[in-house]
Amino acid sequence: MAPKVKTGYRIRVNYHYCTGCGNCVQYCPHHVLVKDTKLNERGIFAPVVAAIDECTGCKLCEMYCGNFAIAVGGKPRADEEGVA
Amino acid sequence: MAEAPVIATEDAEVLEHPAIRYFRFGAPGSPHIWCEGCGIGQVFYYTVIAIDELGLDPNKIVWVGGSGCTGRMCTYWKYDYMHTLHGRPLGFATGIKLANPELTVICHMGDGETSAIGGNHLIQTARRNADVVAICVNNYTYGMTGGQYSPTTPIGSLSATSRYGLVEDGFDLCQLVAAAGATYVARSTTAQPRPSINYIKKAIGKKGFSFVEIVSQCPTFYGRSNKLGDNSIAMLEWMKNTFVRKEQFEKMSPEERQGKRPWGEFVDTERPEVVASLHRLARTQREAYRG
Amino acid sequence: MGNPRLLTGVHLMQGQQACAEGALAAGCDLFAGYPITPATEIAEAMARRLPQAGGIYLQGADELDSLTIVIGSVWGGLKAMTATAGNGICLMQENIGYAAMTETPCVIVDMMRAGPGTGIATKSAQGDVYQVRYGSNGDYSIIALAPESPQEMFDLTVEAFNLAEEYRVPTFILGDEILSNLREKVVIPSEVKVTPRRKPTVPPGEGYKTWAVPPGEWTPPMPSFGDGYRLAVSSFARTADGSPSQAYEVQRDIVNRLWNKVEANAEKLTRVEDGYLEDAELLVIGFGSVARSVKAAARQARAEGLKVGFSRLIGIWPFPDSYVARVGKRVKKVIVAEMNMGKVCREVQRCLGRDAEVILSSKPGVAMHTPMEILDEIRKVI
Repeated sequence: MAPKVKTGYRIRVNYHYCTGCGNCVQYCPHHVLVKDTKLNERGIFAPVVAAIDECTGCKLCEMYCGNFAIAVGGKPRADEEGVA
Repeated sequence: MAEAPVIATEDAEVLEHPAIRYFRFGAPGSPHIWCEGCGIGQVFYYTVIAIDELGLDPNKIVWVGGSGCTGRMCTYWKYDYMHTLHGRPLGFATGIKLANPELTVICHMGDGETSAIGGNHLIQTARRNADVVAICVNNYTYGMTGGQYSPTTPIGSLSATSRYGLVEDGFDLCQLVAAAGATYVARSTTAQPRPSINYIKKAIGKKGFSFVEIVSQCPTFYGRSNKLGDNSIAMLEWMKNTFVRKEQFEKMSPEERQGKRPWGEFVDTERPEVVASLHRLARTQREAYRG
Repeated sequence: MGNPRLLTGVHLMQGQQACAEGALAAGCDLFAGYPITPATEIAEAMARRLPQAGGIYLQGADELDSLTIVIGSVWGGLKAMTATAGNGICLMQENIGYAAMTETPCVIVDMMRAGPGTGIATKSAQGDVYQVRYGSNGDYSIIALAPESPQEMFDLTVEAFNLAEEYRVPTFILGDEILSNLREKVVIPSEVKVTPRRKPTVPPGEGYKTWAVPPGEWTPPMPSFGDGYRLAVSSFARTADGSPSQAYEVQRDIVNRLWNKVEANAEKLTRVEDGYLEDAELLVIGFGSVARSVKAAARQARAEGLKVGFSRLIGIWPFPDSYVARVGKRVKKVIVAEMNMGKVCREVQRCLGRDAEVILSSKPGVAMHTPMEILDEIRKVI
């Protein structure tokens, strides 16, 4: 579940589909995601949202995910209108 | 910064990856059968983004595939699909388009499908300049059958059937298809999402045979066998280091080109297109018929 | 101005030409083929005539390419055909299996020539009897009709298109080189019965199951791509909604239906021409060009007082088991005359068991049986 955040963007990982490839963590330009330090139920170091405030909604994580396991929703913050 | 794709779920409760809207459930896998780190899922998404950004009616889009990992891409498309025989998507696709030129026909084929068993269909479809889209996911391997080499596998590569190092070199698919007459030829990689999407959009929107090669990672076989890493990131990094923009590549000396490959748009031109021509011929002859 | 699809009237026509005219009359919209003796003139006729009817001729890069284009265009909504010789059928086998598994209605003309291999391109034979039926991998069924004249090349091609739609199978015309080049009178009527493609009765939308068979029927209806039914077309074994499956029950049900939709209807699909059967002691069976000599020999034998009957098989597949068993049981001996090493003969032996003695009269290519040769055989055997 995404935590209560100050940014307008939200990120959800579908842990049923995620295989822990790490693409999203690696290629997020703003280091919003990190790999969990604990194995999850499926035996994977899954991505977790570490810095949602840094998210600009570029959706590169979605584009690098081959398993359709991550989604970005929401809108820019009011003070970021026009800067996406 | 890459432009954000248009599709997004604004649902307040459950966010879903946007590809899911076009995804056919019921076929094997969770959500599909491709390996951890495989790039084929990415190409599925790029195609779907392209269709969405072009605002096309998915009911008028037929996906065609053949055998192999990439060949199964069509079986996950929610709308009409035709899963055909290994190597032959382009033949079936030409038939579909001839029957109903209003349809958009998109073929996803692996490197073996495209250039080994499918080689003749590839060059013939390019020669005819049939108005279908061919997206070749080139991961330099036959993944489904366990990682044998293909006609695009680089010389020296290790694979399930080249344990001592491959003694043949691979096609430059874009050069091959360009020489055969395609009117749009482009290459990108799964390490370049936005260009890939743009090329696919252009390919779909353009009349004539459009060929987009997307180099992709197969960490399970090609990557592991050739010490390029057994995960997707290592292979994506290899792609980022190996592929240079066509314009840059052209300026490089032969020494600088060692170990590098060009990406970009190689052909973007116009030529007579067979489906439109045959329908025009039919109209003309029918009108001229005097019994 | 006439209808370009139907050249009503009396013509002197070559067998291949008549086949092309039959296709046009039956509603064929697309022909994709590769030149090969002795079927090349079918391609040439279609290339000339189809555009006049608003249709498409595309020359395949080879026979494989041709049949992929045909099958694709059928799913795009057209009626389509290809024509080749025995060697071309070899190349098409994977596609034939694909058409069988995806229940794609299409017509494949096989003008048989001497084989095996490249054989003798310009000489006749009847060696592909099993190839068209069992040439692809796995179990499936097809329909095959054997014309004996240019008139039948027209009539049976029309029927082939209609049967293909009704049973959703690849349907073959089993011709031969003699018939390819034979020129005879062909009467083209003013009207021809054409079976339309069977479309679903439900409106398009989500949830349509591509392979769901309505109760009491043998095959699903066949929407086209772009109609909005979200079709899942594949030659994998699959459940009704198109999902690939590895389950025994799924395989069992699919294969049984693909096999029986034709085989269980064998009696309905039996087509023969026979004569002099009432008190016959000897029956002569033949098909295609050879049957003309069979009939001439039987007539002559009767004139000499020999109790000979003849049977010309027009429908070769599904094999007319009950017909052959019925007529064969009434005689003591059966001669099967064919231009191969005994393929229809084998089927006849299978049907008759010990009920009659079956003798093969075989000329495996180039030269057709003459009526005198068959008469000599009759005199020897009776």
